[in-house]
Amino acid sequence: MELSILTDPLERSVGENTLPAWRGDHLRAVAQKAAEGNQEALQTLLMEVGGPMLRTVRKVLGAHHPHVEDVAQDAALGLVRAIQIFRGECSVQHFSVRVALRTALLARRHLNVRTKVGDFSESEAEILDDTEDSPLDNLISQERRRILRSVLDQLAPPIAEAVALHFMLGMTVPEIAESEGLSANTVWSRLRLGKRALRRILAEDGRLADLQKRAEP
Amino acid sequence: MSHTTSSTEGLECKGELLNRVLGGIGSSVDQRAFDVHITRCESCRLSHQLCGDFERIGAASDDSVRISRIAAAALVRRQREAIMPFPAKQRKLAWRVTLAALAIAGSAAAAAATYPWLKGEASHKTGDLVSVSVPVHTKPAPSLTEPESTTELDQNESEQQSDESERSEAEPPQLPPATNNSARAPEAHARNPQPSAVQDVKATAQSLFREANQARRSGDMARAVKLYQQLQRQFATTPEAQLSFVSLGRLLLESGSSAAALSQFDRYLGSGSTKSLAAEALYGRGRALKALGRQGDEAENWQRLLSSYPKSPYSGEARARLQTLR
Repeated sequence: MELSILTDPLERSVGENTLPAWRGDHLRAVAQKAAEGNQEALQTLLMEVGGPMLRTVRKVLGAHHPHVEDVAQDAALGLVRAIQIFRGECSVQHFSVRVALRTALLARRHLNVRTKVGDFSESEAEILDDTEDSPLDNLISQERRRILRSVLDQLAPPIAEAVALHFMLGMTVPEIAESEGLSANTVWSRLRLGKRALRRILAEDGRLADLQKRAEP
Repeated sequence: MSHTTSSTEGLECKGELLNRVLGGIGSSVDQRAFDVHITRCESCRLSHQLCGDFERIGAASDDSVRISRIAAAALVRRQREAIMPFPAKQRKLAWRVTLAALAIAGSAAAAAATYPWLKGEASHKTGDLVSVSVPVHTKPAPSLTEPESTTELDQNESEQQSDESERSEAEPPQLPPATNNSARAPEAHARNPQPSAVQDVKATAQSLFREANQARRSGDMARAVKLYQQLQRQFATTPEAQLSFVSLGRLLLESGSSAAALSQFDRYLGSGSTKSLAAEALYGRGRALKALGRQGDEAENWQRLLSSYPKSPYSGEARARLQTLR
């Protein structure tokens, strides 16, 4: 999709290698105009970050869940509302993805999307980037993803959020602490509790154990 | 490296190496040390595995269509919020989503902005966040090259236009639902309708649409494009703006702006409004996809047109094109 002319080329060209990462963010100018209510800028912004946001919703709900598009739309609307008070402390894409993650986590709780361990309704293959992994490795990954999603439903919301930010978005503890305004120790505590629950269920899951045995040389 | 490892607990490691590797700032030495570390540290191994599992989730081939649809629907809902008072019975998810987004922005001002929603005040105002004014006068749209030829819209379109306008005069404005989810259907009437303001909005949208159509018929394509875009900017939720997606899409297609045309057709088809011109939009969409060389998407589009509108005037061409693509 063509990028709108609203992207300011000067934002990209001036000192990208020396300024903090977000200063080289080519979406900043678009975000600023979107925050002012410029409809074309809003359209451009949503088209630019829509892909990562949709991907994030898939990570939380599962790619083939029937509500993926509805929830992605809620996330897009949430971004349109929140962009007005975005302060540029991170990249626009990063901000958008976090909006999508929170929206999807809320949706999981409110739409009663709950899978119990042993419920294989999420067994349909997910949409994956091209990898060199074997089908068996993909199945093992898929099973771990399914288990993590089911664990999220059992955790208290603050812990579930820390777990999702870490595992689904790949954020480190310092990054989570900074973005959420928490101490690193608080984030560590939440992750520790989440990992304990996850570890227990991973160990108990018979299907995953079978798959891992098959993968052993 | 300030961490402790325990083979029995395995959860106490604070993972400085993990932070560096995950954060993309680890050196090759760090990476080698990490590869050794995760053979002993269950916590970091778990993080490494699961982060990799979710990193693999990718994009579907038709995501561009989906994203267009999502963006269009979100913008329509946003416009609706700016025009209509916020419904008294808010879906819990809708305002909680917004609160979650505000929490990310993370400021006392954000909390203050949501306070009226939390109190459930009924007022004409829609809350600080959604009452951001939609600019009445915006920068002019970029000019497009004059098309080499124009085609008249079907008589159907002008009939649809008058039908839609008559309906909009007889009833309160029907704002299109964003998706098929019935929970999102707007209330039938605004809490405190302001007939004169609503009437003004409709009259201006109608006149813009009329002027744009006249410009198109008289061959003044640049002016027609400008007027359609103005209509879509200023009156996004009106039936005229919805119809204009198809009109403008056809103009853009004929001027060679296939990607922009595709966006217009996608916005119409994804808008959730009554799809009186859906067959036309699908036809235009197919032509745009053909021009863009997206044969897989094009074939899917023709299939959709044939299955949804088998008796449309475009079915013959759709079948012929599918035959060619096979």
